[in-house]
Amino acid sequence: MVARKSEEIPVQSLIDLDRLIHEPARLTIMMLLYVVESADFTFLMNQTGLTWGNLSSHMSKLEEAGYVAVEKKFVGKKPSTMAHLTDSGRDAFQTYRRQMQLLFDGLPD
Amino acid sequence: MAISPLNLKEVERRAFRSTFEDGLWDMYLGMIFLSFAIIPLLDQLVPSETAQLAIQAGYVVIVMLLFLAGKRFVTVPRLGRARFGPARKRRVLNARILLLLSVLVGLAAWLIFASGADIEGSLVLLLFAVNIIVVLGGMAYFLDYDRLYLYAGLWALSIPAGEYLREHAGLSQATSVFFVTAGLAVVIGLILFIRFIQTHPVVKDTADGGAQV
Repeated sequence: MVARKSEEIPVQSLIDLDRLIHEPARLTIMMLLYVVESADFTFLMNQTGLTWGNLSSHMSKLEEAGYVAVEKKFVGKKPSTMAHLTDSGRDAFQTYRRQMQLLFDGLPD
Repeated sequence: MAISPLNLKEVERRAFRSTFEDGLWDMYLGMIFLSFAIIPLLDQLVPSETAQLAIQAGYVVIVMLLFLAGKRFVTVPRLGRARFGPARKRRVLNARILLLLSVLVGLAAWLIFASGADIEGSLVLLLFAVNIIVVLGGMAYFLDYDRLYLYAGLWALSIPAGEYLREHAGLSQATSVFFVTAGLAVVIGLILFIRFIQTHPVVKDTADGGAQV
C-alpha cells in the first residue's frame, strides 16, 4: 500500500480548527446555544447530559473566550442562570462548521 | 449524542421536542376531548342550560390551570428554560393561528346551527372530523409533536365510530367513544409524566452559580 503524500491529507485544516470548540462537550454546548436564542443551565444540562460541575467548567472557558455570555438573574425569588452565544461565538461556530464541512468534503474515499 | 455535528436542524428539533417529554400536553388535550364525552351526560344530570355552560367553562378553565401549573411547578424546574429562534417561533405561531381558525370555524358552525338552519347531521359530523384532522395534524406538523398525529387520527375516527355504534350497537351517545380515545391520551400522558418525574430530578440553581439536584 502506497503511503499518501502529506499534502493530500488536510492537516492544515485540522490544525486551524478552533480547539476551544473542538472538544465534544463544548461542541455540544455551542451547537445547542447556536440553535436557540438562550437557555438556562438546567436546560443545557438536560440536553447535553453533562453534570452541573462539568457544564459550569466548560461554560467558564467559553465565557472567558467571549463566545458565551452568562446572565445570572432572579425570576421572582428564584435565581436563574441564562446563557446565549455572543456575536463572536456565533461567528466562531459558523467558521468551525464551515471548516468541518470542508474537511470532510475534502477527505478521499 | 449520535447526531452529525453539522445536523443543526435535528439538534434544534430534539431540543424543542423535549418540551413534550413531560406528557402534560397529552393529558391536557386528552382532558379537553374527554369533555366531548362528558358534556352530553350533563343534559341528563343538569337540566339548566346555564348551569351546563358554567360547568363546561369551569371544566375547561380548571384543565387549563392544571396544565399551566404543571408546566410551571413540575416541568420547568426539571427541564429548564430555553428561548427558541425566529424559525421555531414562526412555527409555534402558525400552530396557534390554526387553533384560532378552528375555534372561529366552530363558532361559525354553532351560530349557523343556532340560527335554525336545516343541515344534515352526517355533514356536521364529517366537518367536525375534518376539522380535528386538519387542526391537530397541522399542529403536529408545526410543533414537531408526533403523538398528535396519532391523537388526530383517533379522535377524528371516534366520530364516525361513535355514530356507527350508536346506530347499530345501542351506544347511548355517539360521543361516548371519546371516553376511550381521549382517555387513552390522558393515560399516555400520565405514564410519560410519571416517567419524566422519575428521570428528571429538580435542579435548583443557587444564587452563587452552583446547583442542588
